[in-house]
Amino acid sequence: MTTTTVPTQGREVLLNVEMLRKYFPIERGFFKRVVGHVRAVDDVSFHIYRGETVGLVGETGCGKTTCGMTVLRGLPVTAGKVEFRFRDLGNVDVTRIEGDQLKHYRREAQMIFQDPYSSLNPRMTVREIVAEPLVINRIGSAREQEERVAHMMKIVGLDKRYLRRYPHAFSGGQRQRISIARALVVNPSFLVADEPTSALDVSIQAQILNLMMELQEQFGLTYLFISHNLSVVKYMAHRVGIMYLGRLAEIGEKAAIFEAPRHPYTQALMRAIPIADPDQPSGLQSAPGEIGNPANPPPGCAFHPRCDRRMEICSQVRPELVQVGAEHDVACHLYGEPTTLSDR
Amino acid sequence: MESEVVLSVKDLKTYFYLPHGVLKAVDGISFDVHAGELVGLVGESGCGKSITARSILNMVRDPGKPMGEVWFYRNGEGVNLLEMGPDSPEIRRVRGDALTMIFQEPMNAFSMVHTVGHQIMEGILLHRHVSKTEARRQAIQLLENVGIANPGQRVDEYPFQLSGGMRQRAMIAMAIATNPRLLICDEPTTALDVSVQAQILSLLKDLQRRNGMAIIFITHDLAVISQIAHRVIVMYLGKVVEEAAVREIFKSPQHPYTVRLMEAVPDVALAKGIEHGRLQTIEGFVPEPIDLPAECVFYKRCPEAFDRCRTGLPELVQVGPGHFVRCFKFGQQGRASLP
Repeated sequence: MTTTTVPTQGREVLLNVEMLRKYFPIERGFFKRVVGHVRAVDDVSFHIYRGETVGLVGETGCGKTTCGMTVLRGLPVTAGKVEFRFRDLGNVDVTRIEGDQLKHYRREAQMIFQDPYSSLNPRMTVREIVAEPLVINRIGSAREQEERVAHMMKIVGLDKRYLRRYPHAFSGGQRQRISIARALVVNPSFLVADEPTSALDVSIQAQILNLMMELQEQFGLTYLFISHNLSVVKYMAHRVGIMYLGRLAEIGEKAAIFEAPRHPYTQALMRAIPIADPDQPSGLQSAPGEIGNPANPPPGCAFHPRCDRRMEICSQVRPELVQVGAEHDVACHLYGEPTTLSDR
Repeated sequence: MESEVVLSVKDLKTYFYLPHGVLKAVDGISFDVHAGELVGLVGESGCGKSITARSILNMVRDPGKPMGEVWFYRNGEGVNLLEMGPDSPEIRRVRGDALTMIFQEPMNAFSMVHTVGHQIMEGILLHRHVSKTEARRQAIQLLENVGIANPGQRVDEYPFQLSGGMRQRAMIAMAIATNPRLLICDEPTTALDVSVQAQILSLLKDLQRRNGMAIIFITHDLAVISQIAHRVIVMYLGKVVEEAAVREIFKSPQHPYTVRLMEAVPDVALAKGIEHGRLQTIEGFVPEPIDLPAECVFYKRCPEAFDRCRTGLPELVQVGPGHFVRCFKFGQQGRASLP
């Protein structure tokens, strides 16, 4: 039994994000003078192993959705690297690719959106919606496409009879199944799911989460699961990253993040989540104040104005991720090398 | 509970008369709310929880029509709100004064063209005979009470200038301005982030402790309700399927729907140790409550259904102190027909 000492060793990194940055310019006036930038994603680094689910958690405006979009090249990248391991080409920095290579990446990496009511074209039938990625990528003959679509419907648990219907005829849960069928039809290896169940009722949410888990086991899929709902992430993810104002505050194994969080923000977030158990008082405490403005984040550590353990250095020096355990990194001055101002 | 009754809903039915049939959004529900009590009304989309709130306030518009009785008690005397006209002067003396409401999305509930202070003062000026200066002073005080920093400046700002959390705080300030006996909250934290939700929930709890007001809290979030409610009413397809004290309903839910709803929550499932298993799901989805057959409302989705469930709607029966369940598994009605 020598192979299992460090479970992460020997696992293949599917996606490696390094210092990813996405700034949106703020424009003013007739000439659209750039007067500043919204730092939606600000030097974020993490990696995802093949076959695992990484949960990306944070509150409104923390940059989790932008992070997912830029990783998929749905938005151009301002700076940084996103290395994807293709089945045939090996590691490629997908921030720089164009043309056929980009098309190839789009087949490998797909997305499931939050709102199943606006992410499906109301003028297309289910057949057209699910087949569209095949048509665009010119995969297979018409007959093969037909068979593939029928197969996908079976996989996501929808009746073939529904193929001629339009999205309005379906409930939220069924629509989300259609979105999943559309994402999987090109046989991708990586999926970004952006709040896939937050528009659904809890019993329907359970159906979709179970389906995503089954598909992961069946096809060895890798997920980047974006959500503000920590209890859903706790159920789905293997590792969890916590974002705050465009920065990764903490990332680690699920057990470490939920049971022994190190970053004061993660700790505050854990206290703020209500747990469905009246004997366990929870969900009524949180960090004071509100999340800052990503166009003008507080200097140093973005969380310092709300932090109960802030030190002098926190308002002056931006903390970088330091390792505090196996696969556990925290961006906080409380940990790692004791840097003092005079050292700098 | 020995404290006095503030609200008594008796056989409330709110039907919508639509071209293709009668939609029974709320179909014969009854419950009481006591002073200082927080009653949670839970259920999935379409179960009728929001329409119940609007019916209590007699705010349902055509083609909807609330029927039944909604007794609201103040200074020892009761009035039936459904007997009053929806826009009558009598109901306006109650609504917005002793009975107020906060909504899910405060952006839609506020007027965009008036300042926050103006809108808070409106209620005070309408229901209390005070001067404008005094109303403004009270508005600033209220904003401070709900935890808004710089209330003297915020009072003159417009809703769009406030963040989501602050708007919801301002909404609460508006709702408690007249020191109501009963506050109805319809999903007040659903649009907010968890940390802001925690702030708003603790604020509501705190205000309730201080003012002794009763709260009806409507939500689909079982985790939230477990933390703040005293008593929980679970609705399905316009009917109450289970009602019990909060601890009772979370520790020993009895209705097949409640049991499965609880286990569909990832927290509850994880706490029970099904980490590598699957979440409990409820097959199918909530049907539209038009022309429903005469059977238990949950029959089509219920894995425990037996013959009797198809033949009629079960009554709400008592299974423990203050614990009521609408299911044929319980009481004489079920036993009589079991093989």
